Amino acid sequence: MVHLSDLLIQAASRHPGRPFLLGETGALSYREAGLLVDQLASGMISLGVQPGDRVLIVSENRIELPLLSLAASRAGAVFSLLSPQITPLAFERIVKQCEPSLILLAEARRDLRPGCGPARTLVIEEDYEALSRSSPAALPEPAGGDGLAFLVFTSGSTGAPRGVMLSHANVAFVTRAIMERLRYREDDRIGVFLPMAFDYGLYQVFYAMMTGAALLVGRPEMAGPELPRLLARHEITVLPGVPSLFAGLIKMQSWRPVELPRLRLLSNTGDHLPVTHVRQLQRLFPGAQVFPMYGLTECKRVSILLPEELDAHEGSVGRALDGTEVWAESPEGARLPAGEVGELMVKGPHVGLGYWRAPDETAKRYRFMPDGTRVLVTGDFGSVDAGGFIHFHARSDFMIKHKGHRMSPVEIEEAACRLDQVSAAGCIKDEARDRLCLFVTLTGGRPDDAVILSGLAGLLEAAKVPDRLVVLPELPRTANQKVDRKALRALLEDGTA
Amino acid sequence: MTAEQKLLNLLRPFLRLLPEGAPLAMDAELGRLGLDSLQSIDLLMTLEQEFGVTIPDDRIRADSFATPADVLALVS
Repeated sequence: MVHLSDLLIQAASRHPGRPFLLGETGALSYREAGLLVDQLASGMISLGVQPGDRVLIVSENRIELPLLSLAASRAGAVFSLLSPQITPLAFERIVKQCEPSLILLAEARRDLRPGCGPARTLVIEEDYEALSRSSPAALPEPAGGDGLAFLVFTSGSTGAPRGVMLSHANVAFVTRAIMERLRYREDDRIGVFLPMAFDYGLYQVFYAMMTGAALLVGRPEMAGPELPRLLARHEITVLPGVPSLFAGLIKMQSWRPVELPRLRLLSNTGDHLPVTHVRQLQRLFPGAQVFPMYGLTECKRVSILLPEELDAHEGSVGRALDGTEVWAESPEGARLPAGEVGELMVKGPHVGLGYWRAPDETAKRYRFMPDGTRVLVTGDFGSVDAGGFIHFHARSDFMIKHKGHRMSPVEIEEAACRLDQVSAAGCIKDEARDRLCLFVTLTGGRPDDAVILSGLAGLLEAAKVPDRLVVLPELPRTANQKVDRKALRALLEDGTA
Repeated sequence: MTAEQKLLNLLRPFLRLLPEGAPLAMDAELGRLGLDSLQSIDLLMTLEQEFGVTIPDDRIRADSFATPADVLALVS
């Protein structure tokens, strides 16, 4: 039986003295991290955490975050890392769904305490020290396998939070399959500037443990003007990112280049990396390999394009991971021939267990086959060519990917309608300009755009606050009175808005 | 126009959550007013151009863009 904890136990025995987690101030070796995780797990058990319990953690990236997650796992619990920008409303909904036995909050989010329900609640800055010095408790025998390892909360189609369930076996399989393509090495230094509440940030911890690499725990706000120098100072060799992070890096390096001879691997996820950006990155970092990828939290990773395949398959997001299968399906459910566009289906041991306590949503997106395998209905449109290369076309559902986050326009529209000034709202993404656009009709006179946008900033996470506001006399609607997103898109494209 | 006034005028277009005409204090949190890490790159370029300075690399950190006062310190 594989268990997440095995990754650390094995790394600590194979690479005891190698650095694992790097912070701004210090570093922890694999051996030290292994001991600390056992202590923290003992502390959690003495607080009453039992196998199968949920442990929620709300914090910005910091060196304690991977340790606390691994400790919850070592205690047999199911952890979930929530965005440090989570709104109190979304947090309360998640607490109700999860019924956690333990919640760990960063000091900065102490305001969430009233929403914690009956769970034992700790503040990391106050309680971490004591937790890490707990007297050793008997740690459970890792169960692992198809058991639930952790939950990643994303927006569901209605905008309500939805917990993607991943098992220990899912993580073990996909970590190995991804490393077969990306091939991190034990002398690598991974720079993580993506939030760990975002799954690609969290998985870097697993890749490090599997390969013995070191991981710098950075924060998203470092991925601005100081990024190139941080990469140089920490001798980062591997940089996982999203398109906006790479756009910033291209801008800085074109303007005021910093020598980064050690940077050797850039991998993109979260959203499509434009081919022009791939080419610019190759020019700016001739010694580095660029890996475009495609994935969904529900299976973590669908495909990876190798650098040597880039020229012959420009624009493709690569082939399916080894041991998995991807095909395009017609609306009637038939498997389409090579090159034809349909809804992409993913099958393999990486497809997760479904959505936490949401059987209806699970039934829409997962197919449980009689032989025990699972198929993920991606909601994305694309084609698979004769060589197995996947070409991504569009999202068939109306979910939006922006700044690396997947979001439901409904959540943004509902938030807008809670503002006094707004009578109706429709949200779409302007893909060409990478902007989130909100169309509204008003209840009264026209307020300043910033009044509405700052009102939304109080109700939504930062990435979900629109970049542009368009006031309309009337919101276009479909025959059944839904927001007509096609009509909104047409307004953008013909230049009316 | 003082350097402070010039800076505040220059900052406004980067702050999509700040209403037009609303006061912008020197200790306002720019992140809360809509400045993100990608935009702070554009802000940095604008600052160098408008103030005719070259900001030394070692002074450029995430917290250099926390408030207008911090940004003013960069160009002074």
